[in-house]
Amino acid sequence: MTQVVCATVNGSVEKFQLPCHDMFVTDGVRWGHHYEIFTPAYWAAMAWMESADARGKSQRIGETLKEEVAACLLGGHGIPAEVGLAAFYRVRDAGLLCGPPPSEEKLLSELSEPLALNGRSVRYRFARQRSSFLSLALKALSDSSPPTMSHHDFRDWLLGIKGIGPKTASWITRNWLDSDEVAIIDIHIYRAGLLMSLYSRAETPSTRYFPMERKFLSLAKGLGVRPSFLDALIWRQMKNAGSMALDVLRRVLK
Amino acid sequence: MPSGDSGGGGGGNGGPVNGGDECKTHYGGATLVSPKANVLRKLKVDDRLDVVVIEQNGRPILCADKGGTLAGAVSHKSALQIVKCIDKGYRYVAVITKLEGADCTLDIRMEAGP
Repeated sequence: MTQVVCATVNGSVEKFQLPCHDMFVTDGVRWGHHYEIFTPAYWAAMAWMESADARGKSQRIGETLKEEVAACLLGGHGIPAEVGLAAFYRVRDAGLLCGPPPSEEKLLSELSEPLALNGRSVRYRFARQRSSFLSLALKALSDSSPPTMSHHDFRDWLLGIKGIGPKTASWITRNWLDSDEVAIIDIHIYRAGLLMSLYSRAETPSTRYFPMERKFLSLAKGLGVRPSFLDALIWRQMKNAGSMALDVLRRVLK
Repeated sequence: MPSGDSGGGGGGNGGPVNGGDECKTHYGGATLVSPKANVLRKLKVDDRLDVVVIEQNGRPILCADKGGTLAGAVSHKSALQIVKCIDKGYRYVAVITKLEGADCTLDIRMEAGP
């Protein structure tokens, strides 16, 4: 038995079949109903509906690898996405991401000034820490380049830079190489994974990043969706869901 | 409970970072899913259904309701956003634009703000 997803495209109803809700999409994870929000079938249905809009869109934030590394390093844990981007634009527009690597002090000077965000003045948290990490990263990129033939080798090269952990390295790799061999397991993907029973509460990205990444890649394969596309789709919707996602998580996990 | 906002896994490339959160007045091209036969047979084009949110297995489901009886679930790529808007107090109706057998296409329109 199957479940059928319908969507209207240019006035005509198109249909897409998924396996029955109680079949397994990957180990321990059932498809669920596509109309039940946050199930694997829901994500597969959303991916199908959005795939036409997403065709050909690059995930890159920067124009150069240095810019990409800066954008991802300045975003990430503890920093709202909008603030991370604003910080990236600040250092980029100050000319610090081209030419010789800037000093840590120059980066700190820029990041210490409040950022203008939607008419508000926002302080960039961790300015000192991120200035240090970004300075090291830019120096490393000025001295050499990561290998690009293997996405995992590319990521491993980035992991050798102090301040770049698995999530940031994966984010850079996914964006720069349009990679489907890595996944960005951040808080939104983690919560979505809990909601799908892909992850258990005993697992956290800080302690089990790579096994969790393998599970995510297996899920994407089971859903028939590119991991890079699925990651971005889930991230966007979970972030927009905000407190509603947390409420659902409390109900489902209790 | 896992906490913390960002991580920013998709960053600015996961789609609009601040956008995509508005409650629109119109969502076209929705479809009725798993329609209840006893309700469906009484429906016709231009009929108006209430758009409601029910909970199943702890998860929200966007549904259409005719006179207090569920007609079926509603499928739309903005389903999550519509659920959020209803949660905020917006009211929506679904107008039937096409009805062929069990295939029912809906136009979702905002009826009232919070």
